[in-house]
Amino acid sequence: MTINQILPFFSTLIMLIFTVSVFRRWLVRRKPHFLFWAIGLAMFGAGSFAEAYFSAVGWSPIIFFIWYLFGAALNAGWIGHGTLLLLVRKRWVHVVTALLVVGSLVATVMMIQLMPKLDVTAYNPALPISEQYRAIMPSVQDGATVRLTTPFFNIYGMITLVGGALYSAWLFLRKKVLPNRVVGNVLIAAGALAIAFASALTRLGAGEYLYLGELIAAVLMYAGFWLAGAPGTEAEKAQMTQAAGVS
Amino acid sequence: MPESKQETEQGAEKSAPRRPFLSRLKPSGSRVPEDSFFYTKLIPVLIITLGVIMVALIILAAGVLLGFVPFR
Repeated sequence: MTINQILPFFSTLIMLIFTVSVFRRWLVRRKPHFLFWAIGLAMFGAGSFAEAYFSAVGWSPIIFFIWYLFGAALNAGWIGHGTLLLLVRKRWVHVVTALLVVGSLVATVMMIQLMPKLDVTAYNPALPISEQYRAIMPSVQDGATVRLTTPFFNIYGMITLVGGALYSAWLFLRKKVLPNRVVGNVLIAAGALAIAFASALTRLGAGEYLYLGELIAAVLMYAGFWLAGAPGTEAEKAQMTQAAGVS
Repeated sequence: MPESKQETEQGAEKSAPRRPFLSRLKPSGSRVPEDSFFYTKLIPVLIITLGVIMVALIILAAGVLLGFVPFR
């Protein structure tokens, strides 16, 4: 097993902790942006888990389905949409939410239709899946239309997540308040760009950097989320404790 | 009397609970330090740099979508 195949195990662990902490915030505050972040991060974690599974166990069509749909296509859009919900309180955001959900369902159907067309014989257990998925999947012309959807989700996710984090950092810096949120948002933006850059390289044929990009993204985004998190009032801490079932 | 007040404050400081290690790593205070190189120079440069990288990646992704950039 190469170092590149070990990295997804660490990414999965970090994303699991990250997702649980965001989901717990949603349980306490019931703000929709926490829910979308948690779902998007769970998708990111599922993608990392799929890579770890391929490294440890080998080929599985269901795991490939999870890897491509959640890990490559959808997660950025859902995480980024959480940021949009946090920053924009307008009615049109609900339309975007509907578009995201419908678009995700369409991508899921396209992925289901693609599954019988996968070339399993092209799978090589010695290589990371990011370096060989193009050989396993048919071309867009031959039925892999789901590949056309990934740039839409990823561009939308990058604009909202990175743009939103940089905008927030700039606002706090300009007002000279909450330095933890300035640094936290910069880390979130840097983490999101790390995975976006690695994904772009993968699309251009250099898939060997994807797992490293994922690990960097997981570490930076979790650190940023932790830093940017408000200290919280005593009442909120008590609620968190109650939600966690700790006496 | 100021001395005794000072004593009380020191006593209060000593008895104050120590913050956990991780929370001591967070930037403290609610104001961005005015004279900090980190906040006045480094962070703005970082924000601008990350913004430029974001725009470059969006252009690249749009190029893939529109067929200008070939992808495998």
